[in-house]
Amino acid sequence: MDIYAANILDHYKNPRNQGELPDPGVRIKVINPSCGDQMTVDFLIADGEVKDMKFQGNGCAISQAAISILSEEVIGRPLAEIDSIDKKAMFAMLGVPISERRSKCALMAVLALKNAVKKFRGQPEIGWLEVLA
Amino acid sequence: MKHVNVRKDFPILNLEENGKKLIYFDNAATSQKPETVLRAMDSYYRVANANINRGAHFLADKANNAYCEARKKVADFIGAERKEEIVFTKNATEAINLVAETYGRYFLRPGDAVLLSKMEHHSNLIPWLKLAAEKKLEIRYLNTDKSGRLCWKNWPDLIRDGKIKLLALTAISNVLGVKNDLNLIREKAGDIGAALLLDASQWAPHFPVDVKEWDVDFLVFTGHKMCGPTGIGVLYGKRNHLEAMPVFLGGGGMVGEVGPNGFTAAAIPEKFEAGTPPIAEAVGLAAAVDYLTALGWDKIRVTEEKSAALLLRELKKLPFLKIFGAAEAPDRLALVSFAMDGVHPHDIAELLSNEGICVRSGAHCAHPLMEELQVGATTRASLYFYNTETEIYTFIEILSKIHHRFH
Repeated sequence: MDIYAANILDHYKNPRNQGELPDPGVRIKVINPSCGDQMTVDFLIADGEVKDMKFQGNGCAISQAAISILSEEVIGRPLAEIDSIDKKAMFAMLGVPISERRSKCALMAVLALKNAVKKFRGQPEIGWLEVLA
Repeated sequence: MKHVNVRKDFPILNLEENGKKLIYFDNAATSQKPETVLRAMDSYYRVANANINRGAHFLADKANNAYCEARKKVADFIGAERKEEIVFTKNATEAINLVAETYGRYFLRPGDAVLLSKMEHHSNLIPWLKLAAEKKLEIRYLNTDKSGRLCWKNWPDLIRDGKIKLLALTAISNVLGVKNDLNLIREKAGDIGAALLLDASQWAPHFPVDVKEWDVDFLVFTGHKMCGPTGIGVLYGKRNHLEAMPVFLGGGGMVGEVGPNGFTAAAIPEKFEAGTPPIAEAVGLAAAVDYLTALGWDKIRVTEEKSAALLLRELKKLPFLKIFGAAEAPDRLALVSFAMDGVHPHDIAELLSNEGICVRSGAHCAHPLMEELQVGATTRASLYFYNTETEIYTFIEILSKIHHRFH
């Protein structure tokens, strides 16, 4: 099962929204426990929507493609819509079958997003169990 | 036993996945098992299974004999003079924990230092970090040199205050696959009167072990990496140490007298084998020892040195790969960690897996070494004597295709 579809490789080689925000409202760091890869994601949230988002970190093609794809989906969208983005939605965005072994790679982006919104709202952050459910 | 074609001895090597033949290059993680090991364990359960020690019937005798015989075989395999110096554990990790929790806890004093290295597997790191926190010990480290061996440059500084009482070092790194100089390790430990524990987990499957010649205080290895089953590890300890050490796990089988307020320990090695031991697994390990012995170290070495030389030669031809550790065969196993330009280890492993090739990618339970190498993860191919030249060429071909895909 080859998950390295054209869109995955495109986002990996040409990541959208890579970098850091000069003045992020929220900065979230995510670590993938299955491999130790780290990702830092900056969010600028205002007027009830994600105004801007940037990410940094070295990761596999799946994790990098996921955050790149997610960033395009999420920038300019209201928080209320973003709340519904979950594991199923992320896998659908990737468009390739994600095995259990690579689930966390695909979901680092979702964990970062969810915790950014939580942090913005002053709520406690969630962990991997909630994202994987 | 004449081995013409070893591959037919290993049933799993015929496996195919999605039309691809298995190319098993993850032997440092665990080895495959020959038919004789599988049959030995199956047979034990069919005709000799009972609980050992103090059984009152003929079947218990059979079980007892099988277990004792296994211990004797392992002792001979590693050059131990007395079978009482062989303690069966669950694995090498448990064996090291045993030494830390008994010898370490009882004989090391606050302020003493334990010398490890940056290339140690977490199994020879965490037990000592744990102990150090509780007993106020200091952990010191040897660094890794460019060839992938222990670096002794800092030794004079490390020993200056005379605090190091124990060296716990690996014979071969599970990431770099390069042989450390065991004579040198022994010499250094002797120079300062420190005890020596050798982690032979990656050594024992590939090279003969001789605890008497090496004069080690403790040596550990695990059955499943050397054609044996999982669930059986070995701690070799010099008799005087084992006799002086307090008990590890408590329960049946390791006691002498028991009263409501106390107990005496059994003699070694039973003293360290609480509860029903992994009997069938010990039988399996004995069968693995038989298999390797019949194959012969000469044949194993010749085959593996050819593999290592070929693997390294072909990997070095690929300009987009970086190989960690510079040593050449025969000082180096056919165990190589590498990085590929622009492709993450997980993606390499995934795409290799799609072609039936099993490697490992990640930190290999060696975070301090990853930090020394300045990488988060590597991809590691680790071969054993049943891997072939054809498999190596296929592996190289697929690596090139993977690189091409990402560029």
